[in-house]
Amino acid sequence: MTCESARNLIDSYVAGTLAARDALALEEHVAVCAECTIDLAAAGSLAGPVRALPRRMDPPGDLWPAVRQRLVRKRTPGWGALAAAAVLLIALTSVVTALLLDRRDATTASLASGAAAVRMVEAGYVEQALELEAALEQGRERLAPETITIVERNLDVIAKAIAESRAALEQDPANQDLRILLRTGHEQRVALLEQAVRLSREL
Amino acid sequence: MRHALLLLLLAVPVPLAAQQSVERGAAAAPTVSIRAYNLAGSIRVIGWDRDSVHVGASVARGSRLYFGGSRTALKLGVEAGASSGATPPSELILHVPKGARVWLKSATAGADVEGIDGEVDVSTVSGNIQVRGDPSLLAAESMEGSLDIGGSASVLRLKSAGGSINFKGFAGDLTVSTVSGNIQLNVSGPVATGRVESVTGRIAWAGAVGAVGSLDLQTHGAHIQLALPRSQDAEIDVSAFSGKVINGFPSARRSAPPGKPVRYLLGDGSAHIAVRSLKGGVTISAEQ
Repeated sequence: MTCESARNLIDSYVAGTLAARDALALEEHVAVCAECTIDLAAAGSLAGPVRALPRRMDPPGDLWPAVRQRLVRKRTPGWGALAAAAVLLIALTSVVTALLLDRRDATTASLASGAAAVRMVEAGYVEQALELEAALEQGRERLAPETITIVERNLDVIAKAIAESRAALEQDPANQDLRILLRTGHEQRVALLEQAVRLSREL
Repeated sequence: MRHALLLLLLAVPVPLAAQQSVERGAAAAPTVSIRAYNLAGSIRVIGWDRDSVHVGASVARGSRLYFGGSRTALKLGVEAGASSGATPPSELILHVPKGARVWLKSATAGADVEGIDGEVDVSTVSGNIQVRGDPSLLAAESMEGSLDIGGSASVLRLKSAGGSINFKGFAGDLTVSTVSGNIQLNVSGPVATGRVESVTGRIAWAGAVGAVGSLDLQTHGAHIQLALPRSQDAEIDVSAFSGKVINGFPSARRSAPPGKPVRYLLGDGSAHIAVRSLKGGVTISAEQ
């Protein structure tokens, strides 16, 4: 997947409307692309505030009389006034643009924080593991006590590893290798749970 | 004296659950699919040059051997009698056509496969798995048992949570994974794609990576040993976050690209190798 096609999918991914196959492809790309990682983190953290904005914003009720009063007072402006207005408009636009860009940079930087990086890596795995744990609980009585002990012992080992990888990534959120280590920990947890659930159904 | 002899005879242990011998056989296609179950004891599969399947079993009293299917698909196994205790052990020995597809499932029973060219899929809970031969695809998985694999497979998938994994032979596409078991791989030819990972188990790799191949070695908290042929061309990215990185490869040139703690270049760097360990060290060396 290219960065361009990844970026086209990010909004749908954050909104939760992306097909599972595309979501997986996007996650795989993001795992090895720092730029798209930041874009995804930014999109993910902006989604909430954007959804919280009102769908419509009305101007204040007293805005129009004030504008009309000014228009009446200076109905025929000269070229000098028009030029001054143009300069003012350009200056205002520049200031607003600079403020917006500055805010975006600050937002992106804060969104690429440790917590956001961890959330992004763990998205999906936690739910999957919970579903498998529930399935395992249902089939628990069909497994030998020794098997349950083995599964639980290994899940403990993986859980400790995940906790350590998570802590390391929170300290160094841009580190791709730490993302891969954390992702692998979750994959191993899911794989072990899947194996245990299979055993509970087959044996 | 006679009473003493009688007491001595009574003291000699006699198996409570005696075994019964059972044999079954059937004509089979060269690529017959076989599914075999034996929860406890052992299961052994041997590939032969005949168009038939033969099963010799020593079945625990109270258990029974079931066997059925067609020339192209057979299912067999040991069904334990209705008892609340542990499944009594039974022994199964299967002779099957070399090109068969073999699927084995056990709990504590060890599984031993040799001389199969077709696909092999073995799964146990705590039984050890041993495979010798050249299956086209080998998938072996155990929760706690160890895996000992020798031979070649174009696709190799080995997994154990607590058991160790040893592989010696050739594999084009290889995936090996443990939680706490150690991994020892001696690969005789260049691997195209390899992924090896553990949580707390040591990883030792010896072998070549293909010209445009890739190898990924990763462990959370253990040491990784990477031994490559002296002629290997590769770019090696090493991320050891708290462990030591020791380079014993004479011709490796070290560089530090952005975002990567250490990179070594061997030759033209055509293959890519990634090595990661959060808490363990990494040793790179040339194969002896």
